[in-house]
Amino acid sequence: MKAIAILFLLAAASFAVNFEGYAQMHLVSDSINYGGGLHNWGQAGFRMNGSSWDIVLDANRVMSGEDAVIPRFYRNHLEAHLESRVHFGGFTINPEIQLAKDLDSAMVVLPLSLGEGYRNSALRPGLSLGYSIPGVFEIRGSGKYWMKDVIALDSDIDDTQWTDLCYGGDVLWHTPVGGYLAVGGISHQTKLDGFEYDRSWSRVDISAGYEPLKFPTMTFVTAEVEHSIYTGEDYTGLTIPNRFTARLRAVQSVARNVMFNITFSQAADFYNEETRFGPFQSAIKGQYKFGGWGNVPSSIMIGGQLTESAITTRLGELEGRISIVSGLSALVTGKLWYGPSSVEGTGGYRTREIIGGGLEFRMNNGLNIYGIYEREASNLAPNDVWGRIRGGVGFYPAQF
Amino acid sequence: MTRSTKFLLLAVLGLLTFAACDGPLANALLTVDTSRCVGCGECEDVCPYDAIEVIDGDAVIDPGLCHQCNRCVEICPEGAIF
Repeated sequence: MKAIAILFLLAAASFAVNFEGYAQMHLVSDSINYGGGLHNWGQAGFRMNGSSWDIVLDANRVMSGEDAVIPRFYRNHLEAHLESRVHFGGFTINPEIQLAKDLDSAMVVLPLSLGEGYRNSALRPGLSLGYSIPGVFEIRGSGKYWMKDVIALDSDIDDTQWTDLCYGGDVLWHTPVGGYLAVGGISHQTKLDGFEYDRSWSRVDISAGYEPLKFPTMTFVTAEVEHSIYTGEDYTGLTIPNRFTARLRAVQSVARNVMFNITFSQAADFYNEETRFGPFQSAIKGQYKFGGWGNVPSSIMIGGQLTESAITTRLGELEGRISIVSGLSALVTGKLWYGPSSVEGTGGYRTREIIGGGLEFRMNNGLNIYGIYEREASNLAPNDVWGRIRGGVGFYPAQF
Repeated sequence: MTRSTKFLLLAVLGLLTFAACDGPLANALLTVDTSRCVGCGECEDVCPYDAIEVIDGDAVIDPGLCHQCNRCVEICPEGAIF
């Protein structure tokens, strides 16, 4: 009788299951570093869900050359991420596992000054647990454990396990007056077998915020403050300072199809004997939507951003999608960027001026094809102007 | 934006007044703007120190492993790391 009941439940569950799959492939090629600068990746995955559970599998293959403009190590690896969520009552259980297999050993720099090494594979299981009363109270806890199989190059110790353990949790209360108060913490430990390397740091976050506050002028404002108390050391062995961060976000709707998004963020870092400014960010984005075919509207976005920390960056950007006929859109992109650089001959700072255009074709069955050509000008000494082609094909979602 | 303007901004917000905010900008930790991060993983791939991982769609930087080489800042297509 019990078996029949279980079979009945399984059969009922199978009828309630949705399945969505997707596949994407992207290819980027730079004329300045043809071949070596190649960075291509493919992604595929699926999502299955029932009324109280879901399972998501993502698989990526990444191949990137070491001779790109920004110095990077050669990488050729497969990654898979399997995640599941189960909900019942207000509870959520979220087990996951991430696996990376390097097809050619990927070079990494080992912590502190232990030299370089090759990573062969990595495995990272994780588990999150949560309970929430929507709009009132949330409590979450999670843990992740990284295991990296590494061959050290500059040492007598060849094979070593590089492990990281991270666990933490937080409690959040939505107050009756519209804001929230939260307390959270995280602890992180890094170890290298055989090197007697064992470092850890932890952090307690106390935060408060006011969730979107609506003004009659169609302005929505969110304000947040957070104080993080650190214990432990960074890679140099120096104490990590406590940090206070304040953020303000505002969305201003000018008309039904014109919207501005403005953000400010400022941090202060508290060292033992002094307080210093931490990172500052201000940004504005404006978006105008018009016309279009079907569910693909034409849109133009113009934005700007300034950040200051130990480094300064400035970004101006423009993105446009003009719907030409059903499914076919013209893409326009432009960027002005100023920021730090590790590229030789730039004097530590690099300017980038990017302008490009292309086409995107979206079919009703979920097939999406795009190609875009970009021309980049920079302050790089030997090669100051070059072209780049980005293209991809995606199939999402595929319903079953 | 000058330092005094930043101070004024914070005061206007009524969030906090710092008594001794003088001296150079901080150099300890990089920050990810989660409202800009699209979780593309470019920063994770370029970091030589394995200090970045994309978790739940946002880049997370381990301050214990980050060497401030700024390659992630330079490569981020969204300008989300600073």
